[in-house]
Amino acid sequence: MATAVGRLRRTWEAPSIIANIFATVDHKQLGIRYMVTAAILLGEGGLDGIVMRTQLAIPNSRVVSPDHFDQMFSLHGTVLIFFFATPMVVGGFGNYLVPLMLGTRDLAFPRLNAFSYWVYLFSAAFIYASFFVGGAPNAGWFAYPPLSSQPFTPGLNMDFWAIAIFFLGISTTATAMNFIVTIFRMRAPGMSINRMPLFIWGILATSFAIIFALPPLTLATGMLEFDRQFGTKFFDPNAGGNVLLWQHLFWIFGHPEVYILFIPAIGIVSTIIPTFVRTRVVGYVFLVLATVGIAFISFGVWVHHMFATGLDVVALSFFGAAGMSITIPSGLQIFSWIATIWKGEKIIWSTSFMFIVGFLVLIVMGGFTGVMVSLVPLDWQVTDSYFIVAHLHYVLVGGVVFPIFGGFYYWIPKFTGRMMNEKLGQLNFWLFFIGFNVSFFPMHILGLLGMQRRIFTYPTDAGWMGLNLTSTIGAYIMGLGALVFIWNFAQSMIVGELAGDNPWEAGTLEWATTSPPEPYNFREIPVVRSADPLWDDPPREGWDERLREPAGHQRETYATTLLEPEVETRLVMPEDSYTPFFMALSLVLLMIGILRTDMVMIAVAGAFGLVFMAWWMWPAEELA
Amino acid sequence: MLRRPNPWRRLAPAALVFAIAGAGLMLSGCSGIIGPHSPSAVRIASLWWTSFAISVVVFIIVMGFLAYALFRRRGHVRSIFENRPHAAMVFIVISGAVVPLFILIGIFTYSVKITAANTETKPNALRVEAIGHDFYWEFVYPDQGIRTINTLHIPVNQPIDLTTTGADVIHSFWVPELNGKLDALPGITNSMTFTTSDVGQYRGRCAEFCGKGHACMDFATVAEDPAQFQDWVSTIRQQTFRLPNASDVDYMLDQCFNDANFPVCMPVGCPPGAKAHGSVQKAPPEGGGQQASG
Repeated sequence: MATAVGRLRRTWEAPSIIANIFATVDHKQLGIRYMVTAAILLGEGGLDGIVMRTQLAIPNSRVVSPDHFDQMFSLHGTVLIFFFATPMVVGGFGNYLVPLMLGTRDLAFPRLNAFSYWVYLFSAAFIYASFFVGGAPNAGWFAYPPLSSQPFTPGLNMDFWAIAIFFLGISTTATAMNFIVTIFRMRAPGMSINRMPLFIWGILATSFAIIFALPPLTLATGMLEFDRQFGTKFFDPNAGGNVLLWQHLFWIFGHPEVYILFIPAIGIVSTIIPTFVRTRVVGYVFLVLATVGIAFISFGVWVHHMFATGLDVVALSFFGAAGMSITIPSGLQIFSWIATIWKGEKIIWSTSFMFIVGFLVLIVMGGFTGVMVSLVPLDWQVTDSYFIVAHLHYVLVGGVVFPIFGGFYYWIPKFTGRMMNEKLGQLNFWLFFIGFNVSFFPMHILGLLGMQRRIFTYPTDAGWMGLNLTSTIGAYIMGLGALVFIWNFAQSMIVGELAGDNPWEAGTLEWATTSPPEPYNFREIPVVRSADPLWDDPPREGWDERLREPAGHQRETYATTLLEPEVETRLVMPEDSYTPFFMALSLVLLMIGILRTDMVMIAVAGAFGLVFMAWWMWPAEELA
Repeated sequence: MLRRPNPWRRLAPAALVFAIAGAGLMLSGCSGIIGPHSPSAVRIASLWWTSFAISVVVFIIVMGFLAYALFRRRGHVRSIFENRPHAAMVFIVISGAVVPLFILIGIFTYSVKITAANTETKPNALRVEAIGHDFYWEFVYPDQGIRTINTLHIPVNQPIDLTTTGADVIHSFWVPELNGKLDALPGITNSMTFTTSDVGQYRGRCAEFCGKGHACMDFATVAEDPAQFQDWVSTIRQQTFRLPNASDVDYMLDQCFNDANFPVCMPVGCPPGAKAHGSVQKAPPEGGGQQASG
């Protein structure tokens, strides 16, 4: 037995430290890297927010220059939406948890997964590199042309932005395809679609949304870059271009994008609630239909970002109604969660659960303001005001960051094998929850008083100081909450209580293995007989004798059938590989080439890319 | 278990009443969206207050359900959903879909009516073209044959037919007391209609981020009696008009970025609340220009 486990570990472990860093394809390692990278960027984006709040605390303030202020809010939005939220929930939580929850050993395409991470890391580094070359992007996170075009933003700032977003799209799309194939074909035997964990449903719906939402963004950033660097006129009204074309393309991506963040987050919520109220989720079918329904409807509502652009009012009303209709699946969700809590046999007030309760409060508020902004005439007033800033933070911080914190407190014992401190956790929650409301609730009123977005200061006689000062104090309290989290995590790594396999006595498969899991995840591939396998059918030696660890000295797992998974074939998984890293590096060369409009460099990067692709695709000996 | 009286239970309604009354006091006499001075803005404000009131009620109900679900007595007490899977489904569908659907249909119908009322065109309108520039507003009165910078005068009780366009990048015309925003897009002309019956000065602003001077793009909106408006028109007619040049814009931005007293004047026009331009030391490089503000 011991030798079998040792052999399994040797087969799945990286052979050396260097290989571990640059060549690993382990979904857990990559998931952790996604989370760490995204968390650092959250810290940076949050600091931007705190500096902006400091500047806005009092009228006529000059803490930062107007130019820096513009760079800060542009970076704040870009980094937190593109480089923090999506990679955190999809790349981080998705990567780490999907194979574990499915009861398999890795994603379907492990090297592609490594490639996605490297491209993400390099895109993030690329956008920050703009600091050393004349300043960060400064045309806002949605970069409307003509402001973002060459004549009005002549520096390289927006080129960095467009190129980084363009290449990040490759990473996100590859990840989404990876998840879809994994979820369809690698679920543990017996995990029929009505037994899939709700987090998996969330990742599946969001992956499809990514695949359909990213192409318009890629197209738009590509067109913008062509306008900027190669003299095309897509968005130049003086040459027959149309400035609204960008807005349509951007928001056809941009509205689904906020649901791309939100849907995995609600998957986290649906996973955590049943554990801490000790009951099966109520309304599983509603939650699944709502998840898929929201992903679907999100593609029909983009114009509600454009109500003030002078489009025909009949079209506006249509899109207003479409936006409103998202309330129905959301309402089903909210009440499914409430019914689950209601039915619960007892409530375990862990920090993780408190963040989820905080989420429920904030998302209901954010939902109300969401309905308000779908009312066309009201949106004419509140759009581009601080009311929108308040609304979007209630749905994105309340709706995504709170579940992420809840997820951290829930799964960090699995990631690290050590528990977080509950007392510090409660402090973290209350500071964050109170700070958030103190910071963002007054912004609703500021918007109603007429304070517009993206202004670096405001006049004294506007009468906005009290609310702005309150908001700034709230931002500092939130910052304190984040510091408590960092402290909690650090002390947990050093002196945290050992977690054991299943500290929360949860029902899903990721808790069936050790904390942290071995490189091969499961010694045996489990067989699933219910939606909460650990509650109904707890793990035991040899879940299924058929599926014992394969004899060969290669990485293997099983491919299963689609709806009612049965073992179809043994999958030989790839070894660790340096090709994804080098492939991503050749993309970096390509990015720099485009930035400098250096055709030679672009050609060299393309050649490198082809070489590494050939290396990557070269058939393994056994197959040759 | 012994139930102790909870002081919050008695204090909560009182606190709520105080909070609402206090908020009401604070907000009365406000400017902005909730201090409307035109029928269009009044209609939108009433839509806001309606949806706000509905939201407060629904929020309290939803939070009541959540609080009950969280804090209900457990132990021997079973939830109503125990052994009754259909009860849970009925609860979820009615409160999560059916009730919201009716509320949404109601508020949507109301908002469509307001949309229609606010976009209705009126006869005898005064035509004004608002052109957003980096970083100032140019107002053209085609029928009066005058142009101004950062100063919009309108007669009361006459419909205003305002068109917007952008000279360079996208700006957005916004006087929250009078109407919603309308983007000023280069290459596209948009229009809106509004009327005001209240004499007064309102601070207009740019609501779409347009670059470094976005915060400095305030303009004065002056609603006055038709007679006064005519006087103003004839005064403006006698002055020579020129568009601000690059050095005027730079001068304004320099003031806006470095002067502690924001807002600031264009050399050719002042927003309300700005120090009147004219100090000798701070004269713009080319001097002159017209004082367009009333």
